[in-house]
Amino acid sequence: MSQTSLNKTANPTSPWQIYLVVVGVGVTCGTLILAVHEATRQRITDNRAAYRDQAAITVLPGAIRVTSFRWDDTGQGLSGHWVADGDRQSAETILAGYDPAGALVGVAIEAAGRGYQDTIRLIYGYSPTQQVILGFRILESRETPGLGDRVETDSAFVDQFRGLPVQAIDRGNEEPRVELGGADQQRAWQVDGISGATVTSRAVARTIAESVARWFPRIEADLSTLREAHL
Amino acid sequence: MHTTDAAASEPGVFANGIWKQNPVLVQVLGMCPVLAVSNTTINALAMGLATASVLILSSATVSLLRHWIPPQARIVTFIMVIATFVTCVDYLVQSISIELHRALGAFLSLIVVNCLVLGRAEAFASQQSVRRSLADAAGMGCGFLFALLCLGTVRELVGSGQVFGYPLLGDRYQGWAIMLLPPGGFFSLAGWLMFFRWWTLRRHSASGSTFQLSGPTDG
Amino acid sequence: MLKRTLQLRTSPHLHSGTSVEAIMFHVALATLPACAFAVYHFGLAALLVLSVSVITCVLTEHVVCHCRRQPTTVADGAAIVTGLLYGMTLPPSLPLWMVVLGAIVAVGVGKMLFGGLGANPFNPALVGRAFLQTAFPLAMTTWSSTASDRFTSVSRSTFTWPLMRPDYDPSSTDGISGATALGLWKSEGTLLPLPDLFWGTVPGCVGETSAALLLLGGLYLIARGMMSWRIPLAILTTVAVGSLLVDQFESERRFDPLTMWFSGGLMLGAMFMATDMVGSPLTGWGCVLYGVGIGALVLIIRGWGGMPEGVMYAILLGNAVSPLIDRYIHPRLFETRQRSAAR
Repeated sequence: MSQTSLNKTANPTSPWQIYLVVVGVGVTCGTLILAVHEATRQRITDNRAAYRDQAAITVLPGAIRVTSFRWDDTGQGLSGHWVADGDRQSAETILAGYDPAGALVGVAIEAAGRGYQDTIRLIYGYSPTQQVILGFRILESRETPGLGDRVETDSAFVDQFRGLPVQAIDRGNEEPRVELGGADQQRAWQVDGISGATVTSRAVARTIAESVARWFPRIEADLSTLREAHL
Repeated sequence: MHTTDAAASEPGVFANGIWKQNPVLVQVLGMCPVLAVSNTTINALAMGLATASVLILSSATVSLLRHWIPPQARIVTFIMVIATFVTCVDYLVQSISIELHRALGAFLSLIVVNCLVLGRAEAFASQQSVRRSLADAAGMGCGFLFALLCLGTVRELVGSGQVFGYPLLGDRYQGWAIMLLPPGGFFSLAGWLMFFRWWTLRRHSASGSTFQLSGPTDG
Repeated sequence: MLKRTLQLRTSPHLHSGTSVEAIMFHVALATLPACAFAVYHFGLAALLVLSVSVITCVLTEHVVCHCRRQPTTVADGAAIVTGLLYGMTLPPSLPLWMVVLGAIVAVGVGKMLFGGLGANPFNPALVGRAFLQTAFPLAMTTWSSTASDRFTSVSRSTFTWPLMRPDYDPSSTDGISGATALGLWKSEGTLLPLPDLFWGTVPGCVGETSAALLLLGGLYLIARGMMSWRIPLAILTTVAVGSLLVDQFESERRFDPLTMWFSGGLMLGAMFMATDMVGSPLTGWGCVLYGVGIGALVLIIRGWGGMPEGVMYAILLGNAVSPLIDRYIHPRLFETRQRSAAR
């Protein structure tokens, strides 16, 4: 090594000196990280919320502000209720969008499913009043550029999801089940795919279908809370 | 270890990092982020800036501490210093833009294992004055940024006809998806390495000097 | 070039009499029936694709040799064969500028960059195709219809300006796009009639549709002793046995062995691509192992992969492991029963 520093042979360092330096540097570094974390925490939280709200507004046409809701599963089955201002980071939170008059436009829900390359994360809008999908937007995907990423850019594919009806199937005592698409479409993901990107387009349709099936009962169970939040 | 000529002045040390010892195009160091995050110009710019700032901060700190760090504990101390600055830069990027942070993905945190950063701390900053270490880190950082931008520009331009998201080649351009995918990183890296090698060779054969090209080092 | 250097070799010193030129001539001859059928079936577009690819391959080889200040190796005919085989793997409506680009990659990167004929680890034609498949996935999976005016006009996409996005005829993309035999099988679960698949009157790449003529060409080469019969046999047997096995357990997947054989690029791949002497193993058992591996990969990619067709990647992977196969299965020492010693 060098001549000026780290003189190893002349003056052997004691273990205590090593401990002292390592602990000293460690404590200083820890303090520095803590300081930066504290300084940026508020902005990071705001950025994340703004990022998600922005995405929610793009899939809820007409909405100008969003409120996040968390499902409080205190009761048995579907007897829980929605609590405003859920943690915006959590996957168990939905975002309700409201128009200037304070009426509910729809809810934006994040969902993730397995695509061709990796998990596709998307957000979609659902209107509980009309029981239709309002549209979707991809948040994160690693699909093939020029092929799989056309699920975002292919207007024919994207348009199929605007106003896609969600049908509740009454199965007696069971929880209400849902399916995407009209009655003539037999399978939940029978949306017309994109040629050459079948896997990706099916993944998008299936992800949305599964997510709707999961959230639909809870939205139905306590729609009034969502609806009246800003009236 | 190829530390530079000890006599070189600070500007010389700085220029050395950008050109003669360019970390990517000559030393072929830190290939993982170079190949992975150079698919668009903006990603390349962000990654290059993040790496350069970690490099400058950690080199300066290591150089400051060089008289107190015992040789047995130097690697662990260097890594601690580097990891600290990487974490700070990670927070800063998040506070600037979540979208950018998402695009850089895991590679932002992985700056900590970029052999370029530890390499400069070990080979240069731990033996040189703060001023010279700063000059070296700034040079290496700029060299890294320059190389990333070279790759990122070519990949985005050929891959989607854009530079910094601006459609330079018109909207009828057919992008080559392969350039945005991992193989494109290898293709463009190979192309740039070939170009710079050819250029250096040509310049030196023209001036008549016998110039020994430094081969790639492991890292 | 080879003839001019003094060759120092161990025995045997006898030469079979075949040369690179002769082999290339006969391989080209063997592909001609399938190429002729392609021109009949797809019309002018197929002729354009094939001729552009052959010309570009030859020119690329010549230019690279010139840049390296070496005598040109175009005369051995390998570039012509690469060009023919590469052209046969492309969709007929592919824009010609993409054909040119892929041909430059095939010969320039796939062959010359590694040192020319004999030094390339991968089949150059497939390197070119793999590049195009990854660079332009959409254009490489768009199939044109076989219109009645195919001998007088070509698809709008053929003469796309260089580097510009191709424009497909709206009428032809509708019912035809993605409707190759394997595409239909994978997305709809329908099987095309076997005679159509066998004779080749189905959509697909330029030279891959006619299984019958490809088989004929392959048999011709085998009869002439210019091709290892073990490789196609191993590939086809593996695919057939594998399909039957899958059919036993999951019959709803409809793994029909004959459909598997005659659809997609399997015949072209098994007969002309996998048997490339440079990329395949040296020994008989090595070839069998190589063929079985390729066949299994084809089935796996077709059945469970994201793409409908997997012959190209299966053969490229086979090329990649064939040096490894040669390391473990050594050639027998001449006139003995002993295998040469391990390195």
